[in-house]
Amino acid sequence: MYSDRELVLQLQQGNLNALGDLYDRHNRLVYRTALGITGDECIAADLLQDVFLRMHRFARHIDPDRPLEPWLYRTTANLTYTWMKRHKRWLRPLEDVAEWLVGSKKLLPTYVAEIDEEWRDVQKAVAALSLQQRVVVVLYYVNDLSLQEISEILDVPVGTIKSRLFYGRQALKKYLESDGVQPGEVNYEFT
Amino acid sequence: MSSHNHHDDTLDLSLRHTLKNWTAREIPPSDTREELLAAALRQEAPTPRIKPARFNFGGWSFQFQNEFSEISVRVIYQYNLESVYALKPMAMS
Repeated sequence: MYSDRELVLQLQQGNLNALGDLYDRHNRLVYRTALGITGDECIAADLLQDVFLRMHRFARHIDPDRPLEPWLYRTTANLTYTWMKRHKRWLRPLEDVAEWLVGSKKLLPTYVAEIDEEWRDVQKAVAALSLQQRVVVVLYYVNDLSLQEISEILDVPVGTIKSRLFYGRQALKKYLESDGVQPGEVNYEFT
Repeated sequence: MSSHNHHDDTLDLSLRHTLKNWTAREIPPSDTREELLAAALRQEAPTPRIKPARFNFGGWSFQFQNEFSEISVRVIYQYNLESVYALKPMAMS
C-alpha cells in the first residue's frame, strides 16, 4: 500500500489511479466535514468531488512531505465558504435555514420513522450558528482537531478560534436548552 | 470566557458524540468516485514534474512523453512544423 506521500507524487506525474486511491483513503474525512458544516448530503457530495478535483488540478502545489489532512480540511472549509456565498438560500434568516435543513425530509414518512431526535436537534442547532462558528465547531467536535491545528488550517489566530468555539458552544447550549433538550441527559449511541 | 466548568465538559462530551454519530451515519454516494475520475480525466491534466525525454537527430527533434499511460512521439521539423503521433494502447493492438 502506498503512503500519502507516494500517491501525491504519482498524482503530480498525472497518475489518475493515485487520485482514486487518495479518494478511497480520505473521502469520509472530507464528506463528514462538509456534511457537518452544510447539513446537507447532496451539497456535501458535491463538495467532496470538488475537493478531490482541486487536488488533481493543483497537485503540483501540494507538498508531498507534509501531512495531507490539513490540506484536505483547509480546502473543504474554503470550498464550503465559497459555495455558501454563491447560494442565496444560505443567506436567509438562520431560523429559516434550520427549518429548511430538516423541512425537506420531514415529508418522508420513512425518514420520520427512522430519524433520531437527539441528533436532529443538534443538527438544527449547528445550522443556526454563524458559518465561521460552524466550521470551528465541526473541526473541533467531529474531526477531533486541537485549537492549534484548527488555527493553522484556517490561518486564523488561536485566540479567534477559541472565541468562535466558546460562542458557538454557548449558542448550541442555549438553542438545545430552549428546544427542551438537556445536553447532559441525552442518551447517545457510542460507536 | 476561559471559564470551563463541569457542565461545559458534559456539554462538550455530548456534542462530540452526537455530532460524530450524525456524520458517521452518512456515507458518500457510491458513484462519486467514478464521477470524480471521469471529471478529472476531462479536466486539464496537471503538468508533469518530469520533463519529457528529448533528443535531436540531424535536423529533427524527437520528444517522448508518457502521461496517463499514453506515449506520444513529437517530431519537430527544421522549419518549425510539428507533428504529434500518439501511440495509444488501442492503436497499437
